[in-house]
Amino acid sequence: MFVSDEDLMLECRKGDMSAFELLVRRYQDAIVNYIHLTINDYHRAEDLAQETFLRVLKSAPRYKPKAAFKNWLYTIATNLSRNEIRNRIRRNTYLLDDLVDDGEDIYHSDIMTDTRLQPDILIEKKEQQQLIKRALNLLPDNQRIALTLVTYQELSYDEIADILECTVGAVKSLIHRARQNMKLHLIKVGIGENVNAKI
Amino acid sequence: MSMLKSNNNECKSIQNDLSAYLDKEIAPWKQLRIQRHLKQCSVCSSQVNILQNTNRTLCFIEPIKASENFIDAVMSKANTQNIYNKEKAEGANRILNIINGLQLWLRSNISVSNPVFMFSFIFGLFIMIGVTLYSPQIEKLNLFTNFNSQSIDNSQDRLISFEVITQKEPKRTLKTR
Repeated sequence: MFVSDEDLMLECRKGDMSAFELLVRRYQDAIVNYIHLTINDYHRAEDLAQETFLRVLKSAPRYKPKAAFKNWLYTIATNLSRNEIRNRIRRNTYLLDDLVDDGEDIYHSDIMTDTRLQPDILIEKKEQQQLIKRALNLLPDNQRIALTLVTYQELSYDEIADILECTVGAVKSLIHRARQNMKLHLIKVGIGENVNAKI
Repeated sequence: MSMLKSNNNECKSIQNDLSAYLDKEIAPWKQLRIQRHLKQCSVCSSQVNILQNTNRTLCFIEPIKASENFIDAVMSKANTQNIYNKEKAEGANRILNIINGLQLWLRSNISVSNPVFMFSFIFGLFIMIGVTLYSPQIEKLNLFTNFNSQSIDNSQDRLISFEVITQKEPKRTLKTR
């Protein structure tokens, strides 16, 4: 029998930790993936995802099933990601990935360790993925968040508007501008129309 | 010319909706209008292709999974947080119990008709009024010193007002014919 997120959350409010564990199981991959694409740092994304679930548990006694649980969860994750980006700018810190030249990719060097297990195609695929991530990171924060939510989390414009606390019209224009900018950034990082055709 | 202009306007409005059209986040009548327009307009249909390609490229990124010990880490942190919250709640409960006990004791032992209570209440009220109406001497002294300093400042102002400014004659004068 499938139990909805909202019902699980109500159980969690009563202090049922198994309901909370089930919620974590349902959303762990989605939240880690979302935060990772937003801040472009896997280890920090895991920490922030854990923090997201702990905040859910902390505010469980105050939870009222007015809005969808999913939207609420993504709102918490978005706020944490935004704080992380803001703190990074304030501390003036850069990720190692941003400092490495195009020719010497750190992920590339990881892949190159065992060529028997990972053939050329895999390496090329990983390399392209890194370039796309780099292009995604060139987008303004709001555009990147909206684009990630619609493309990778497959959320509707209504849900995104609820998460970003803006109108559906604003989300529509945000995503449109994000796609247009993304097209330019993909060309900038070296993935032009040719690669698109190949993919 | 006017036909071309109207076409341009239509293209602009349709190009703004293209992303929503691809995401199927548009009203059915608008969807039909866009489909009809795309059949006629090569510029807009190429725009759709570009957006579709960008989307396909974005989908090339494989989703990342959480690490194997993710749930264990969250649950252990959640349990410690729960224990801390329970302790906190217990502490708050203890304080509430003390307050409740005090309230009960006050209700049972002190009533408004009790002369001792009435006397202490009126006495306390008089003291409060006295303190507010008759301020202590220290504050008055402070006021006096403040007044002195203000008067000094005023005298300095006066000195400045006595300064005489003489206007010098210009070295060269401009003569007109």
